[in-house]
Amino acid sequence: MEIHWKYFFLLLWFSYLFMSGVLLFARGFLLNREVLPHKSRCIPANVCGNTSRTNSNNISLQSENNEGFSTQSGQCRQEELWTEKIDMIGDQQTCWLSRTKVVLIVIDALKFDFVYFHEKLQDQELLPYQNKLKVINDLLAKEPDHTRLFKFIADPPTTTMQRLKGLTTGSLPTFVDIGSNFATPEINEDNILDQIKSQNKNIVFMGDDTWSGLYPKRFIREYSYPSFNVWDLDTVDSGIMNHLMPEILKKDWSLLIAHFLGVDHCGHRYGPYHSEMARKLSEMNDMIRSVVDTVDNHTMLFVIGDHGMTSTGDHGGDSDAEVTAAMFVFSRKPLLSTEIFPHSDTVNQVDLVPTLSTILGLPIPYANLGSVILEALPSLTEGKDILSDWKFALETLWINVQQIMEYTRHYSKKTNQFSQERLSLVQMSYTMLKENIKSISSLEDFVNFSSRVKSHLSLVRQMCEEVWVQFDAVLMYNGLLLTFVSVFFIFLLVDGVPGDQLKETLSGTFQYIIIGCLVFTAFGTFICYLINLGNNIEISLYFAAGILSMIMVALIIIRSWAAISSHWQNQVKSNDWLSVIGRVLLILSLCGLFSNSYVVEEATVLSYFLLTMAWLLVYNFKPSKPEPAGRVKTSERQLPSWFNKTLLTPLKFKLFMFVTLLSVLVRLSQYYWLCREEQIGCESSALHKAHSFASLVNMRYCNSQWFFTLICLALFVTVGRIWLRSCGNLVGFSPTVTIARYGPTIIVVCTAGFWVLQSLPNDTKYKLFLPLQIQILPWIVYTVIFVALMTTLFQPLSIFVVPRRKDSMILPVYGQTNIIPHLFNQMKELMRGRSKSGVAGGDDSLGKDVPIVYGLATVYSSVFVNVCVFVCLLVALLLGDTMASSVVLMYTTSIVLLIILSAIQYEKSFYTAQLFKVPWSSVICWGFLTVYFFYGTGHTTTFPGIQWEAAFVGTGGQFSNHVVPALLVCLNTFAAHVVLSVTLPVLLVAPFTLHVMFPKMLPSADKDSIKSKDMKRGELILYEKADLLYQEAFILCTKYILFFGIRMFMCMLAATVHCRHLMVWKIFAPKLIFEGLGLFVVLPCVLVSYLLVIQITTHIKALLLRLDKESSP
Amino acid sequence: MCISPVEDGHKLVTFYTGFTCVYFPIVICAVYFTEYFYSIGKYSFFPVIGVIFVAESSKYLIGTCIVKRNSTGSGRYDERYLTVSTKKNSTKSRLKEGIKSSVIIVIMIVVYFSVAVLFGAEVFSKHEETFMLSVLLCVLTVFPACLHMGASSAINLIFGQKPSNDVVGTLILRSIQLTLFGAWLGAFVIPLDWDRAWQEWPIPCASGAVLGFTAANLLMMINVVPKL
Repeated sequence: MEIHWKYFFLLLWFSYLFMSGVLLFARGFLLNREVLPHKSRCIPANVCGNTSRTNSNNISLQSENNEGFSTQSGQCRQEELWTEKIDMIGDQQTCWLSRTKVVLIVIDALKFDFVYFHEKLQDQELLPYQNKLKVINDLLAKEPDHTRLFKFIADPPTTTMQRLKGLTTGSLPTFVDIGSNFATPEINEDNILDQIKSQNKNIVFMGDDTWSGLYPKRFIREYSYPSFNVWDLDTVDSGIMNHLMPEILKKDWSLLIAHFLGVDHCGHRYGPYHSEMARKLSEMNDMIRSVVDTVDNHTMLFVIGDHGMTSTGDHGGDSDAEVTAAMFVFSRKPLLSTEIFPHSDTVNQVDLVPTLSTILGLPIPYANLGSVILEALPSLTEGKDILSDWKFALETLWINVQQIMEYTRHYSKKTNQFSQERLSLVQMSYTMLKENIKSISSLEDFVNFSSRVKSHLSLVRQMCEEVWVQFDAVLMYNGLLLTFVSVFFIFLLVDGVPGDQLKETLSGTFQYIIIGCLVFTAFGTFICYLINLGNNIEISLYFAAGILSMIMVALIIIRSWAAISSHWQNQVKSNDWLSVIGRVLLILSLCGLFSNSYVVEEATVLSYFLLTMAWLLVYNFKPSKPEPAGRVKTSERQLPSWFNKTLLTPLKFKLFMFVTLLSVLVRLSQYYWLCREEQIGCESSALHKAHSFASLVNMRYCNSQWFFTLICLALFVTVGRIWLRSCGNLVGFSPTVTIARYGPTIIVVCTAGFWVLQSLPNDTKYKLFLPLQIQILPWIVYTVIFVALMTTLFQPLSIFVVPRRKDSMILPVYGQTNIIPHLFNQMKELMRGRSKSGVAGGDDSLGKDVPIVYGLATVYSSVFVNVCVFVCLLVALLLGDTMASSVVLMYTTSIVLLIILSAIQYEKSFYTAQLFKVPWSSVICWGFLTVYFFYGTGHTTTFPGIQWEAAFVGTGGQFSNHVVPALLVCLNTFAAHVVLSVTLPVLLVAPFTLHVMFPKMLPSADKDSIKSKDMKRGELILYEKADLLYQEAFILCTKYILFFGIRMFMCMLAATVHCRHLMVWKIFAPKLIFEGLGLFVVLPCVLVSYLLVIQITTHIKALLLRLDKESSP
Repeated sequence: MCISPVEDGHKLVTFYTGFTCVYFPIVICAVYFTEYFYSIGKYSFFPVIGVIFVAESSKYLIGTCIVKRNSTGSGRYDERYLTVSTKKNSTKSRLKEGIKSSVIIVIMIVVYFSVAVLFGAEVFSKHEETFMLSVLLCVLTVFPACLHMGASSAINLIFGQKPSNDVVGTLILRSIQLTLFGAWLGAFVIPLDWDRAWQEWPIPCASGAVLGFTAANLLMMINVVPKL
């Protein structure tokens, strides 16, 4: 195996180590609740003898309520039954027999504000979403006994699937479930739909197809519509409308669910302040009105929102605006009177489950944690008999308490998760309630009791909440340990062991031992799994391989410990305080990960550190030949000039200019930041989240934005092309060159066209084009980019060998190219010298038949420029027309930074080999830039901040699988990571490029004899010292992934330390997830970039061999 | 007996740092215990800056007087420390030097202002605050440099020339560095969500700068005093 492939696999190995550590940790940290398979069951309604169930009421109570129906239950004494019920433990519950039917209308993202009626406001003052649901207000005013309106508090995370789970099982959500939003798994936990099924009743469903994923085969009729296309406001709703009325009239169901998506999609697309929202809400209003008019006497209507929305129309987090939904209850029968029962206008979302169960006469689902909403229950006696009403309420409450008690008891027995003291507290409160219930004799007693029950239930809920944020400590510590040890050892390996020593270590038999051991562990774990020794193959594989790898790396380090220690001693002596400062800044930025304020403000913090680093680099920069101190002083004495020329050399002046430019660019990119709710004055920025929601701002503004973006992209492409042309990399007609010449233009035109079509109003758009036709444009872009990247990977060289003719020597084509033959001359000489095949006589003829190759001096950088242009354009398309200009900004900033870094590095190194070594300070700068531009391209580490609309580019919302949209969203979110990681080797190449393209910028170039002689060959020198190139590129890549590894480790540590922190689910856990995903994006990108370096070098080799053969027949 | 120039410098620096270490804590305490602390970012803070200005100038004048007296006694003096007064001593050259210095100070205020904005201060609001911070920084860094070393050397110092073995130059350089470092470090408390009044821009940065300046003088004194 050749040395570069060894390096490549070493990188692969390191990546695997980081990934396994992170995954191990994530398994432990993002843990959740255990799902118990138990189901609640019903006790037959007539436990105590021959109770007849015939009742004129639609709800026939179980007979122990014999006050009302004393004739039929003579044998059962009331006290007996009470004791029976009090002591009843198990998953059996008494249930009412009920003929009541329920129409459950779920209006996605129905915020409480949408429902609340502002009577005082005039029509002109109304926001688009206000006072649109007039029917609810009318009913509330007209029939107060038949209607209820609640604030319906959802549990975070406020994503539809989690909410549906909560709405049907009554359980609390756990964090990790968010990840499964893309692939909806079936719910197997006990839930209200299964309970209905088990009683041989029917359910009809229409609307959001998430339900069908969660509950396949539960419905007798289902009309589901795709939910992911948030740009489509009407398909789902009009589909439901077509079926709703006929279904309501059919009467063979006892639960009808209609899930409307229009309001939510409107929020995502336009936000709540758009006139579309008024239209959607008015539609809903009409719909509710007609449903109210249609339902019969035995039917209750629930209109609920599953979550709210922020002022930008998004949801997913836990802000008040997102969790406060609305619930409206309407019944033809009067409800339990609010004058008697304590009324609260705020209920929890899970409370719906026991309420519905009671109304439908079902056992409460086993894992339910909600408490029944008494005010929403229909009165048995139509409000005439208060006594029986409260008895009924009491029993309902008690069943609820017992169900929850049973669940917690069972759960704690099974998992040991609840803390003992908490459990005993709950038990005590339960015992007290039990004592209490026997002595209830009047309404006042009952009111007291019900408030006690409420506090008891909230106690239980609290206990559960505490525990379901429970972590698997062992896995977490294993993950932390593995990551720490890998970071530490890899740091030692890269920073301590000198490169050549590393190469020696790799070349021996040691590599075979490593590979053998890894294969052996993999097989060993697999066999262990087969014979049931380990229960989780994934975790054991991570762990075993991780441990083994660590032993291997430790062995390498121990073997070369002498080298490490001597190397470090040298480093301490050399006292390079810039890299010290770089490390200090890195550590400071890492410490920031432990503080919630710094995580919130990370964008500011990173730009601060990045600029500090850049300014210090330039400030500390000394031209390579400083004047002796004495002379400075004399000149100063004699010439009281404004400043000392020797201090502010032209180069330093230029660097100051560049660093100012860098600062300005970074400062400008702050206008692309997406702020998060924790920040003060978050609503102010006009750009945030507004992009591609074109109508949020007015049309004119949008157009100017679009033009600006387009001009940016056009400039970007043009400059890239001019650069390549002046490098001589756009000559000839090889596939790589052709696509580099025409590809970007095609892409920009298509992208712009796509954006124009997107910004058209919906009706015009669909009149003019088929949806498919619109999606063709992005597909053209994807295809061109794919072809371009593939060509670049397999045919990386964009050079042109001039066919040998006499007159070709005097072709002074573009700018610099005329020096290339000269360069090649030298290089060829060198080749001959190396291979020792050169004949002495051949040298004379060299001047005549030297082949001319265009673009050889920038052969490495041109490839990366090409790749970068295409990746940037891809990312720009995904970012949408508003944010795309941020990519151009990022590109410019990174180039300015690159110039600064490479100029400094060039001046600092005395001989060529030193130029290959990229110092820590540069890597840290590049890393800061990468992480900073995550924010600079308009993202934050919050889930509502994810730009889901990227998934629609080119797919139009029709997905056969979830891989493509996930990939697109990922590319959008980690745009900076992708672009800057793929172009990482440019850090190594840039000093050479800079010297070839701008020799005047580096004035000392002419003075240094050895260096400049080497440097004249441009980037070919990289090829000549290919071994050094491979080695240093490897070290560069490792340093870079180490930067992210350390950050990841610190995020993990912060999440561990703060796992009981108030903000953990809001700040630290999202930060951890985003950082982890970022790392997972960086690792393959870095590998690709290394692959590119390998590809270029091998191709140059092949080319030169061919040329050599041609020129020496 | 002759006094060597080096010792002269040490004495001068001891005097300077001692002076600063006496008057600066007083200023800090006075600011801290009055309402001035929260008005660092307002124009009403100018009196305090004026006090610092006057104190720095008088420090310099007294220092030069001492050196002159010493040197007249011993018959020789080191003119390095008397940049302004020795150069032909004419009012014309003094005036020239003064204009130069004030131009530099004004330029540096602009520079500090823009650097603060580039590093994240708000562009469209809080001009007053940012401006006051730049003025304060100038009074603490560029003004003493101009005073003690003359305008041109001050420029050189700003662009990163290390003053050779000149003790006064070292003092100035170190105080510039530590002042700026203090201002840089002060920004660290701004993002914290403690909601304190002193987290308002530019109070932490200004306080950091002032503390850095004091620390620089203190350190220099500790360094120099044993060598006397």
